[in-house]
Formats: sequence, structure tokens, C-alpha cells
Amino acid sequence: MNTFVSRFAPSSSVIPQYRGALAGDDDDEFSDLTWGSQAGFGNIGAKGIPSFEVPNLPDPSAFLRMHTDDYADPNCRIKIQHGTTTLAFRFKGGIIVAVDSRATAGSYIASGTVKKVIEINPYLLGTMAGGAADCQYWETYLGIQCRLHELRNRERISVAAASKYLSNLVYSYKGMGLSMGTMICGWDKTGPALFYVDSDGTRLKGDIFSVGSGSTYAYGVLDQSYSWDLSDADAQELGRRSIYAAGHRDAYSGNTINLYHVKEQGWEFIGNYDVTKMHYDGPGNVPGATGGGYGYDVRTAGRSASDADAIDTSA
Amino acid sequence: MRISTIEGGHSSDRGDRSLSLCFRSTRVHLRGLHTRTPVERCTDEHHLHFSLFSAYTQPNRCLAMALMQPLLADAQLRPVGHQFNPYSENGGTILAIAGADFAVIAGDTRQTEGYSIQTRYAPKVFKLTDRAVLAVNGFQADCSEFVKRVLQRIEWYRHAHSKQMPLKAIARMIQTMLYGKRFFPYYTYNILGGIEEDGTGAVYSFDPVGSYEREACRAAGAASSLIQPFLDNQIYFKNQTPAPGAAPFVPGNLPIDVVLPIVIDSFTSATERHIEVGDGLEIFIVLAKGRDASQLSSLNATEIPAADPTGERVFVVRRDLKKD
Amino acid sequence: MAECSFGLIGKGYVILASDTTAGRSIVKMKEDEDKIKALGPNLIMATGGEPGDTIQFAEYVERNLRLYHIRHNHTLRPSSAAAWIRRTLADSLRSRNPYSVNLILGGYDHTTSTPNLYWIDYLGTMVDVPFAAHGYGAYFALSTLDRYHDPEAPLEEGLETLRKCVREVEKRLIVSLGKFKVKIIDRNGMREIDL
Repeated sequence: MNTFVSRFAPSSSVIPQYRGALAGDDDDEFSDLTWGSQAGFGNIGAKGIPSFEVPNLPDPSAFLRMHTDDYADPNCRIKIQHGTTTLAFRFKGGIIVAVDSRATAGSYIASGTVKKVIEINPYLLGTMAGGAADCQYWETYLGIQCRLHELRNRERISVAAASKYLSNLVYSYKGMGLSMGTMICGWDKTGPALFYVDSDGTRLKGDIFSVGSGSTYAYGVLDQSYSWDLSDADAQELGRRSIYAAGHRDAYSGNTINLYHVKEQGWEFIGNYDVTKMHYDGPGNVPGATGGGYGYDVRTAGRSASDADAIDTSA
Repeated sequence: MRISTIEGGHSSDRGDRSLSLCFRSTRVHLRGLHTRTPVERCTDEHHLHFSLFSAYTQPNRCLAMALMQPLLADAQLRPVGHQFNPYSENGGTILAIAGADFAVIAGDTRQTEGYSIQTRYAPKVFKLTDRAVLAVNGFQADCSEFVKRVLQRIEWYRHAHSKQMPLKAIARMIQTMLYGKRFFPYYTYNILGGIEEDGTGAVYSFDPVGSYEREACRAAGAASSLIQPFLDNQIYFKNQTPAPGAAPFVPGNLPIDVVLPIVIDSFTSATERHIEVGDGLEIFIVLAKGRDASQLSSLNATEIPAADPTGERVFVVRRDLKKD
Repeated sequence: MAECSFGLIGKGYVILASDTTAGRSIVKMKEDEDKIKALGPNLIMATGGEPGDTIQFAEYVERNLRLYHIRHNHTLRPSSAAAWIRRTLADSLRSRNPYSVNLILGGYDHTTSTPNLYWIDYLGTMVDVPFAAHGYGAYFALSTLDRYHDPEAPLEEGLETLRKCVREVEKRLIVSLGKFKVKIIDRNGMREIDL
């Protein structure tokens, strides 16, 4: 087993170290291992560390910014997908994870079916905000490292350790232009655990997080009826209702809601809900739902602020 | 950093500057590159270029580097961060649609830069294996470079495992290959179509740095914003309601004789309204193992010989699009 | 723009709420500034935006509506007042020295026995709304209002919805806005209350 592990292990500790001499061109980088399967991670060299090509410039990150950052320059060619609402909260029944599914490139809706919850393994979930590829790639990579931790230590990695691994990893790229704001959610020996990790290197333990352009709107609903003692059904409804609120108010969020529930035995996918359908019809006969559409105009149809009738009765 | 001469054309020149750039301390190393970055001489009117890019396209790099040394020594000359733009946009559009037991991958063949048409036949759709077809769009040099490397990795896989690479494995490999250039991206939008190991048709779409998703259909490239809404309506039945009493729509299950006209109409319409789309259309059709190919006969489809004649089959239909 | 104001209607009333801090640079100059101007017996207006412009514009509007009242012996209905204020802002925007003022206008229309609420920004954008918010507070409170606002809510329920919004902003907005001043307009006129 150890030989197997060592083939994939970073050369020293869990935190990858600087590789030493610069690698040559990537054609030379392929070890014998690359000829076989590397679970798709073909650019992970023999030492287990991915290598990346960078432009030969004094400031490669400025180069990247110039060509990819659509905030700085909306006309730049390479559009990296932005705009999201994700949320996760801890309560007595575990963790609710809810996300939208919209990906935008400028004002174009590049996709309405994005999976923003990344299933790292059967008991760890990661959410996706910021660069879609950054999140997908590094959280898949995190899944590999979590599995290797199991093989080495004969026990599952804690959520704290997994999130710290990711945090250290993205921090080592600080300034290079990675963009991710993720929540690592899972259940370990300490119970349900939730960490926010972003590409600045911030890592926060907490009970409630929402990330993305629509996060303020999600908080606006989430904070009002959150409580630790929520029932499973009520908690799921709150997650769904909060993402709907963001999808309704934030133009960069919307399309559909993906809802997950992290329980002691691992995570469970609860469902996919169309935001427009939530607006008009609501989630239907689902536990926790009060029935009827979430939409303001649907909810208040036929109700009037006029008090003319009240005056007539008193007169 | 080692500067090596590379066999092959200009497009592969950009491949040799890989750095293993993983961790913070590496950036110290990058700063060391400062002295090696090409300089630009600012005279009154003229700029003497030894820009990074031109240095790379120099046939003889040693000469270029040697020329730079005295320039660097000159006190009046300062190293200037030159506007380094290795990207262009070559127009065109691609799309792919998955069926229950087939996949259709199509692209036009016009190649443009600005308002000029560089060629009327530049293929954008490539057969990778007997069951996988890749469409690439964006910057042509990056596209051809990328397809070349994908084909090489697929061949290596075949040698190592004595079988063709499965579609979902190709998809994951494309992610890692694109992400491997996260800090110097390929300017390519990729759509992979084909047959999964379970015999179902599949489409995978990618962004330039490797995020990907399996979908039923996807349009990318210059006219994507024209075609995708049409596909949403026709393939996903978005904003359509079934007639009273009719069966509900099931996305991703359309028969091939419905899908192909949709593909053709997408491109003829995009050609009408987008200047970078036109000239020719190539439609690749991948049929699952044992599937009847008779529906393709009316389209004058030609079969591309398969490595395993008993497995999946790939056909190509070539049509004209308007050329003005 | 660490300023924030809310407005919402309920059964026969409009509530306007605004923060009370007046700041300059990094200094808090005053913490009990009244940013809600009474424009008449049945009309109030919360102002925000460029310091100086806010007060000048509010007073200009107030004097003109008073003049109308004197000349015609009745006040403008809220909808007409809103239209005139919007037009004044729009004309100002096209002048050499435009007012940079965002407004929430609340009034009670006796002719229809209906409370009215208008959201107006410095560009002259005007919308007739059941609830409104200006400033960063809008990013947090609009979803809360989407969820909890009820046009038929009795006053205490409307105030509770407003408290939810203020609590949310106090909890999530990184700067502290201090106390909120709250004014209500209904068929009996205007009054101020503690939230």
C-alpha cells in the first residue's frame, strides 16, 4: 500500500512544497505514470503535484488579468464564468447546502444547468462560486487527497483538515488570479462541520454562510428564520426559499436550485427546483413548504393597502 | 528557464515555456525572469522590437537572445513590459446535440480575423476515437495545438490500456489539460460529443480553463448567443407547452431525423445573421453500437472507417453554407 | 454611501425609516439627523445622497408644495406631488448643477383612501412600489421584504417587518448605521415613533 501511496504522494508533507528546479516543457513532464490513467489528472507529475504553464512575462498574473478578467475589461476574450448564489448552514439535523445553477459570461447566460455543489466524496460537499474551473478542479483534487488520507491513516479526514488543505493550497497560488469562494461541508467525529474557504486564503468556521453576488439577498431571508432547532423539513425549505430570493433579486443568479442535506451517514441530494416554478407554484407538496408560490405578487394577489372599506364599516 | 528549439510549426512554439509553477516560492523565480524578458527600445519615433512574442517566433532564438544582451547593457534602454497579446479570435461556431443512442457534433468551416475571411475551409470538428468527436472554437492556433495534444494523449492511452479511451475519461482529461494552462489559457471553447460506455449519446461542454458539464446540447463560438436559445427551445422544449392531451416533452430523446434538420437550420440561420459564420458545414454523427444508419442515407453521409468495425460508427455530412 | 432608508405600505398607512448619521470623511458629525422631511399634512420624503443637495432639495420641494397649497387651497395628491418631484429632479439632472438626491416618497391619498409609496433616484427614475429601499440596505432588505411584506398588514405587523429589515442590516452590513428614525403617514396625518 505504501508504495502505491508514495506514487501519488507529494514529496514531503501534506502541504505541497516548492518543487525545486523549474520544469522543462510539458512534453518532458510526462512520467511513465502518465502513460496510464491518472484519474484524469494527467498534469500531476511523478511527485504528485500538478504543474502549470505560465506565460514568460515579468508579471504573469497581470497577463492573465488582462485576458480573462471581465470586471476589468468586459471586452476581453476569455470569459470566465461568474455570478452565483450559494449558501450553507449548520443546524441540529446536519447541514443544508443550497445553490443556484446559473453561469454568466458578461450579461450572457452561459448555462442554466451548472452543478455548483461539488460532491467531493460521499460525506464531503463543496460549493462553487467564482471561477467554475478553479472550484471544479481543486475540489476534485481535494477529493483525491482526502482518499489518500484515508488510505494512509485508516480513517476519514476531518472537515477541518480537508478545508485547511484546500485553504493552504489556494493560498499558495495567491496573487496568481485564482478566484473561488467555497464552503466545505461534511459530518465528522465532531458532528456537522462547515467551513468557508476562499482564494484570498481566508478560512472561517461557522454556522451560516452565503457566497456570491446574490448572497446578501439570500442572507435577507435566511437570517430571519434561521434557528439551530429547525426541523429537517423546515431547514430544507429555508435553504430553498433563500436561494429563490437571491434568484429573484440578483440578475446573475437564477434558473434552478440544487438542494443537499448533509447528515451523519453522508450527504443526500434533496432535489432540483426551477426558480420560475417556485415563483408561481412553489415547491408543491414538499415537507416544510407552506404551499403556494414564493413570489411576492403571487403571495399578495388581491390584497390591497387601501383602508376605504375599514372606514366605511366604522362610519 | 530552458529555451528549447521545438520541432513543428509556429503554433507549437508556445508550448515550450512551461514552468512548474505551484507554490509561492516559485514566484520569486518568476521575478528572476525579469532580466530575460525582452526589451523594447524607445527611440523618438520607432520602436525597436524585441518583443517577447516576436522573439519566440524568431527561427533562431539564440540569435535573438544574443542580440538582446548588448541592448540590455545600454543604460538608455530599459526593460519594458511589452503588450503581450498571443491571442486572436477566428470566428465560426460549433454545436453538439446528444440523442438517446447517438450524438451530433457540427461546426462551420469559415475562418476569419476581424472582417477578413482567411479561409473558407478550416475544419473545427475532429474525430478522436470511434466514439468521440471534439469540436473546438476560438483562437485557431490554440485550437489546433490543443486537438493535436488531445489526440496524442488518447493514443498513449490506447497503447497503455489496449482499448480506446472512454468518452467520460476523455472529458476529464480535457479538463485537466485545459486547467494545466490555467495561468496561460488556451483560448478555446471545446464541445465533446459521442457515445458513453453505457451506449447513450453524450455532450460535454468546456470553458477555456476546463470547467465542464454533461448536457443534452450546447452551442459555442461566435454565434452561440444566436443558436443556443433556439436549441433551448427545440431540444429542451423551453417555453413550450404540450398540446392538451399530448404526451409531455422528454428532453434529450429526440430522434436523429428531427435533430439533423435542427442542426442544419441553426447554421443556415446563424449564417444569415452573423458575418463570421458561413461557407461550409461539417456535421459528425456518432451512432451507438449496432444502431441502424439508414436514416443518414438521404443526407449523403460518408462513413469514417472505424478501428473496430463492430462498434460505434462515425459519419460525416458536408454541406454548403452561404459564402458572402 | 453608508446611508440607508426604507419605506413600506400597509393597511391604510405608509412607514418611512431612515438612518440618522451625518458623516463627513471618516468622521461621524451627528447621530440624530432627521432625514425624513414632512412635505405637507399627508406627504413625507426620506432623502439621501450628496450632503447639502439633500437638504437643499428637500426644502425646495417643501416650499413649492406649500406654495401650491396656499395658491389652490388644497394640497397636491401624493401621485401628483411625486410626478412633480420626479420632473424637478429630471430637469435638474440636465442643468449645470444637478441635485444628486435619492428619495423615498410616502403619502396618504384621501381621495382614494390609499397609501402611496414612490421610489425615486437622482436620475429621475420613479417607481410606484409596495416597499422600497435605498442604499446598501437594499441589498439585504429587499429579499426580506419580498418574503414578509403584506399590503394588508396592520400597523404593528408592518413595523415588525421593518424591524426585520433593520435587524438584517445591523447584522450583515459591515458599517454601523446607528439608530433609525421612523415616521408614519396615515389618514390622521404624520407621526413619528420609536421602532
